[in-house]
Amino acid sequence: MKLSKQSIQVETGKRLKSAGVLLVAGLLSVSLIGCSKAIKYGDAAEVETTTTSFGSTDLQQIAAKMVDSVLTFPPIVEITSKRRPVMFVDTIKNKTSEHIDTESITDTISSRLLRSGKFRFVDMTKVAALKKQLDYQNDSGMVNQNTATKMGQQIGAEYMMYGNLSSIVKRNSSRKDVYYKFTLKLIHLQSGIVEWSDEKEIRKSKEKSLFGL
Amino acid sequence: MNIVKLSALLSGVVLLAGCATSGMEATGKTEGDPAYAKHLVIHNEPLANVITITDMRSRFKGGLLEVNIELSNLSSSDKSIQYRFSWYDGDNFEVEQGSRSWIPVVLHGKSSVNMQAVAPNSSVTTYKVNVREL
Repeated sequence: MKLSKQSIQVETGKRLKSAGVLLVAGLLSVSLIGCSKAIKYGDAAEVETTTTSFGSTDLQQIAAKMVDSVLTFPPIVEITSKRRPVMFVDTIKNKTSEHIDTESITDTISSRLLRSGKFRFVDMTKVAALKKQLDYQNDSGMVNQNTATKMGQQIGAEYMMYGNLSSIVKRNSSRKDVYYKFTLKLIHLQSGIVEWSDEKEIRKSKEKSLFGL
Repeated sequence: MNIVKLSALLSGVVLLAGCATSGMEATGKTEGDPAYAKHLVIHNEPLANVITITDMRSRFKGGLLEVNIELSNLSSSDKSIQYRFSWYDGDNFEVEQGSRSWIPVVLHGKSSVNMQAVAPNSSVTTYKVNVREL
């Protein structure tokens, strides 16, 4: 078969085009492989300084300071030496400009206080679920009443823990400075007396690097 | 200075800045223990030359071991360090393993700082503190 000069040029062009597509695809796949990031586990206890925003190290520092403080405050030491008072945790008001899960901070603090063996807690976030289960056991007719948990036997909390987290952010062209202040208080419900209070301050700053990166 | 020398100098600075150093480790038993002893294990000589543990005290408060360790900076420049406590019971088992995180602290030149911590529960009899440079 005799091919014209024009058809040979078209054929060569198609081959070159497909080779080009293959080359681009190859380069793309190589670059994608090159860009893939290795996933690894890190130490949750390490100091984290990715940004100046509220981070895990701030949470851990706050929890450690607050727990140590409440456990060694003389009047609290005296109270907890004879019994394990019951307390509940109210919300921690987030007064910063960031979105911070303050419940996570109080979860850590209450877990450590509970595990110290000095305090007991009632969980106000689970009241509805408890009521539902007690209603089922007592009113549904499904549960043997000899084994049902009786209503009205729960222990009332004696203390309430509450507090707030605030921040002051300052910045200029080369530096950003963030100051956090976490305040936690323990109030005696019956008398309304604040039995304990403490603060934890954290300062974080970020300087712009030499090349402004 | 030509470009080769400058880039060699810069990479040297970057390498030095990027070098994470290990630290020193101190362990102590409680004062109530007749075998009370305190010692310091230094893993890092350059760090130990400028930062040193000058005092270690412990006491029981409300049945919980409370520790105070004084760390001094012998150099005139500020040092950014981290410390972490770990706690052990009478059988030398670690208590509440991993519950304590590294705490960053700035140690100003020719000054000292107290690192305080309270044991997580009353089973703790011994503690350990690790200090390292940031």
